[in-house]
Amino acid sequence: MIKYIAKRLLQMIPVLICVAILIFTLMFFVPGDPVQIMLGDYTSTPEQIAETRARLGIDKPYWEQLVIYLNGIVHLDFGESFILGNDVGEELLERFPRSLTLALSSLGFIVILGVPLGVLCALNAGKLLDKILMVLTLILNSMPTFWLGLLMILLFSVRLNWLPSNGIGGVEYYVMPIIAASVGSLANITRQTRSSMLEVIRSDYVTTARSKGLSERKITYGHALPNALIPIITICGSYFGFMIGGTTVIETVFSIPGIGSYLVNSINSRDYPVVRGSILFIAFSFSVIMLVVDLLYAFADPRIKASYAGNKRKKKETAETGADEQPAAGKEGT
Amino acid sequence: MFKYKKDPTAKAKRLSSYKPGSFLYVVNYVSQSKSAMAGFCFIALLLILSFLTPYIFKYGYREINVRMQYALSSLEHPFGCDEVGRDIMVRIFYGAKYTISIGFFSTFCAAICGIILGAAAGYFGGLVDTLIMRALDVFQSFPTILLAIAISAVFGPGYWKVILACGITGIPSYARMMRANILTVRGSEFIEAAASINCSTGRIILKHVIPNAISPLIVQMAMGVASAGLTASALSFLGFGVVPPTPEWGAMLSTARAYIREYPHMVMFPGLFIMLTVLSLNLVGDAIRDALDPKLKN
Repeated sequence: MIKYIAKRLLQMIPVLICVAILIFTLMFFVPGDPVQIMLGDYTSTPEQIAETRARLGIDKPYWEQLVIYLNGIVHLDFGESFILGNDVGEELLERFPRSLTLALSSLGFIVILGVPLGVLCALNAGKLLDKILMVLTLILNSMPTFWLGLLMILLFSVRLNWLPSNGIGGVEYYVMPIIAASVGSLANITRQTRSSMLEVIRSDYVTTARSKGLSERKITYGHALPNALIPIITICGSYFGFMIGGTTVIETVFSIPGIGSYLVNSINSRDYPVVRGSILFIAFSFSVIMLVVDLLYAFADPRIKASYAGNKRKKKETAETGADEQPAAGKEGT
Repeated sequence: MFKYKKDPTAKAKRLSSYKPGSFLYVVNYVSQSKSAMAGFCFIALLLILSFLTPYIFKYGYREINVRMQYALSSLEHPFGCDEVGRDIMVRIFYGAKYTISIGFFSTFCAAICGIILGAAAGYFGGLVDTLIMRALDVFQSFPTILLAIAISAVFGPGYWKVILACGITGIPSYARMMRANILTVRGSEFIEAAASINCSTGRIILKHVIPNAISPLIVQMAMGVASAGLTASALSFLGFGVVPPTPEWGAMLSTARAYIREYPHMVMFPGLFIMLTVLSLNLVGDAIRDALDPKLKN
């Protein structure tokens, strides 16, 4: 297992370096000159522009800039913001906890509410409660996050004046963003849990458990649910990715100074170091979470765990088919 | 009066006359699902209205009327007017084609590129496989919307550029799926038979491998249209997609956001239509999935 984790961590390094190069290259070819935006269109002289370009280091050719940039990344130096002049790494560290709080608590909210709702639906399959919840989840699943956020601001901030509509502070500032960010995924996970649960309930071992005379309670929570949860873990992992990407939208709606709004604003002002830094940061945390999910998955499913330990032939088989399908399945949830 | 009695087995009979998984089977299956048909009709109606707006409505989607600034709903303007007095209802109907077509086009782009890459990776294996899959790993290490934002930042805002951005983000999942399918199909005997009668590689892939590996991909595409539409409207909302004054719904919301305290009606309708459209696309997608993959049916 440890060997596997180490292998995965080592695999992450080239991928992240490629991500860094990709982002750098993309940003290098972004039309629009940051210096023009910084200095304004008319008041600056060509000398001023040239001088600023030299100061920011964007007058050098592509390769030279790339090497300087990668060298910085390896030393965890993300450079300085063009606009504000402060250190991007520090700013990211200050903002990241807010985005992470938002993403993690949304994820927690989804799991804590979505899984029981899904189980409830599965146990009442075909009854009125199930039907109502299914229609409701279908509708909520189609709701754009930003619109839901705006509607909530309209209701709870403008009309009822219960919750603050933007900024950060105490817990009350996070209530609406968390709900807005998670409702769509919550609906989705309810449906997924329901179908996964229904599939498990029909399986042979549940019939066996029932024929042994176990109580329905024990069957549901002891036998069916743990097995039904296995696919849910992968889905949760992809939701985390969805959440951390979705912070760009939610933070913009609720004006939360997190990593997402930092990114959106800096793209508009062509603040390349910030854009590169925040995208790399998000990609890094996404990769780490995907690794954690894969480990949890192995932990929850003894069959997969067995394929990592011992039995070489089996290992080869999973490497060829199973292991490649997993990430693809994880992405579908978005 | 004579009442027409519905024969409950008629539906099953009609379906059984088609080969499961064939095009006609799917069309029949979907047309028998009420919710899917409701979704389909809604989308069709929106598209028709969208292309016929100049002939149906009294106002143009660009027609400014300063006296009607921020007007609330009335008979004249059922959804009210926006910040420069343009009729919101006309703008919404006119803008329907953007969200829907971006969803379809970007899914097609993603699927075609993904299928080609995945098929190449799966069929040739070895170095080609490693190169393609590692490149896709890099693309997959971003959350979808983030990659879309990064790409559209490079290309700049615009209709075709959004399609490109949403399309590129979709490629990895299709490619992975195609590759996994190819790997399972590749070892089978009919491929060996095709190779033994001297079929070219291209012919084997196009005529034998892809048709046998395509149905999960079609399911994925059917589900992908709705989410691509959502991503596109989120991009426009952030200002990286289709930008005002084009009446794309996300862009309309992004403008309306500034007036949320005073004129909430500007926020309500574009969002409502995004939701209804995505819902309809989802309903049709669900039916297609059920038709092609009965195992997944709830």
